Amino acid sequence: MFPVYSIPEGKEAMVYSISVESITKYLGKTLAVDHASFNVQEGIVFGLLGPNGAGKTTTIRMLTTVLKPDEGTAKIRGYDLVKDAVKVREVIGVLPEDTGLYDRLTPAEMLIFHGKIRGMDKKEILEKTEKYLSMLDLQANRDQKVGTFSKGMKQKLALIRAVFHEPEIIFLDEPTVGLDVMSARQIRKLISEESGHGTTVVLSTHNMWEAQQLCREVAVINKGKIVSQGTIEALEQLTHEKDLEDVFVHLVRGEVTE
Amino acid sequence: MKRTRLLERIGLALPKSPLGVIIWRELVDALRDRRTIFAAIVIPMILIPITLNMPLFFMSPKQNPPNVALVQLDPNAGTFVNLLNSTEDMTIHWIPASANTTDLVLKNTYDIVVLIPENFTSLVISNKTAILAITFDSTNQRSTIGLSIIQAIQTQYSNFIVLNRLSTLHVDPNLLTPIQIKSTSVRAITSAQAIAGLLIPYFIGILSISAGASFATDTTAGEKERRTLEVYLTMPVSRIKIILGKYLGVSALSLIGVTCQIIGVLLGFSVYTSLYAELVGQTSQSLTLGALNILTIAVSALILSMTGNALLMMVSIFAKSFKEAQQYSSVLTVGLVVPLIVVMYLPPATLSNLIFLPFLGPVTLIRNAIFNIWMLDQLIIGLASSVVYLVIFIYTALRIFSQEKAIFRV
Ligand SMILES: Nc1ncnc2c1ncn2[C@@H]1O[C@H](COP(=O)(O)OP(=O)(O)OP(=O)(O)O)[C@@H](O)[C@H]1O
Ligand SMILES: [Mg+2]
Repeated sequence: MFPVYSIPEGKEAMVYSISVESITKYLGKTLAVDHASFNVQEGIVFGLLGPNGAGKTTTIRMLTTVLKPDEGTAKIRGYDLVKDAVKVREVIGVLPEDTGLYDRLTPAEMLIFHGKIRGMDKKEILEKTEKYLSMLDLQANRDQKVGTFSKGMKQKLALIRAVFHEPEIIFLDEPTVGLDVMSARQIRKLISEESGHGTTVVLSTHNMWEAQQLCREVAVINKGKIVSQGTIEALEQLTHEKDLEDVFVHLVRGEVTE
Repeated sequence: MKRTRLLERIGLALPKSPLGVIIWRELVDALRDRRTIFAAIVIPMILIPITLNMPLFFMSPKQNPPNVALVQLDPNAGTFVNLLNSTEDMTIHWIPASANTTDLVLKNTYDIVVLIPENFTSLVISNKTAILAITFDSTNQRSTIGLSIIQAIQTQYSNFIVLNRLSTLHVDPNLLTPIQIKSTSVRAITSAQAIAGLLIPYFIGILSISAGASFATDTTAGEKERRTLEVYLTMPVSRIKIILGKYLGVSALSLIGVTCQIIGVLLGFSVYTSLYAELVGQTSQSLTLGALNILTIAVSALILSMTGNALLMMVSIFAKSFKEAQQYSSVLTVGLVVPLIVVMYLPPATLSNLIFLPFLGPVTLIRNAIFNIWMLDQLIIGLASSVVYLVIFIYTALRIFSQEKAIFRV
């Protein structure tokens, strides 16, 4: 609704859904995110790539208004992360690192809770519940307590919650980690579909193959710093590596592999 | 399955305001947690009446009268022995003089042993003092009860003999009572009211404060520990609404709990008064309270419980883990017992000056309602100050909740 127009050097005008400027976060004494800056174009799937402990989750937590940056700022759909936090929350959907599902609720109840909080009406909630549960093969588990779900089922349900209210931007923190091939595939399919409808997707992962499949652009983060950002081809050219995994290792280690 | 759909239908029918939806989720979550429901509501409801009545049940002479052994060396002491034997509150067994009385009591073959010496009657007749030797165990309730029953009979019999002696000597019996007391109580209070005033404020107080504890810790520290709070914070709801919704949810749950438990207390208490009356040998009196008294008790209990829940929410939000929150809440519950016990011993006039204190105020109002003491200014100060404390606790809870450190274990 309020796209940010900015003109990076030597490029054409672009519409950014998210523009991050030098955000920094200390967690205790750890510098978890160190002056990170990047921009995300509207409607694309954007990958946040980095090894364990790189600062992916902390970055996502700041962009989803759960944590306040110690320094720097970011605009989500034109809204300031800190000043317009409630506005930001209205346009996003989130799948956090720990799925954050209520174990004692059923999927149907959980979606009622989220739908109602997001201002959806009864009909829409019921229709979407049917649609998404059948899309991800959870229809049979509609009235089963989430506490009895497997990891993959939980991950799928958490993804449904993230997209349920048709947000303009969704943040997914390692959406397919630890899932079997079939479940991961279903999740990737849903992500592509949502993106196809114009939703901007930010996902963190350390699965290079997945990033290659899904992401138009990626940013590589290491030790809290953004090491590089661009399309996958651009990064391949930059590092003279042929596949993304080598690109990743190159950027993270700061060295070329054989 | 049916119940699930019912909860769903309620949720779907709610208006779009987040507060109602937040409360709904809290209730669904809590109702699914059978263990907490069981521990917070069912167990106390069963346990309170039992624990309240158990001691009296064992002590009640009708249920289990003291077992008295009698060594009667004086065959002429029939009148006194008949008096002893006439009460149903103890059972008498004659035993031979050769018995080791100390041993019999120590081994609890008998609760108490009474020895009537050979010269008992002759001493009484010749205007001397006869000795009634009693062996008892001061650590055995039934033994001490037996002792007091025997002492009562002895006093009654002695008085009768004294009157006889005096009339033989043509002396006015008033010679023995130079002073007599004539007391007037400023309050007309029945014995049932007296016991109720001692126990009910205490029970309602403890219950109102503790009933919400498990729910308050679960919805704050528990949610932090289960990592469900993060999603909450990404939803377009202000933190004050989250806190308020949680608080109202906890209050609704604790209200259900308190109501069930108070029913338990009242049931238990009605048995208690009858057992107690039996114990002290009076006819049972039941406690009757007017509608206004009951209303005052209910409102005070409600405010008490709401203030307690606010305090519990505050400390549970501060706590980093579920366990830590539980520790705080149990310390708090124990810490609040002290003022509640104090209430039972202070005269109403002293309590009037302390009516503004948290928790003590409403408990005092409950006691006053039982005793039929009505002071409008007290009622207003007691309830209004509680509401002020409640708001302070909620506000502090919100301040803590707004801090990143309290939400994430950084
Ligand atoms: N609660 C915390 N307190 C202190 N330090 C923390 C806390 N959470 C994370 N960190 C530190 O912050 C840094 C970034 O962590 P973060 O979780 O953002 O990494 P990540 O890229 O998501 O890693 P992973 O791939 O393992 O999920 C790490 O060094 C981590 O040790
Ligand atoms: Mg992470």
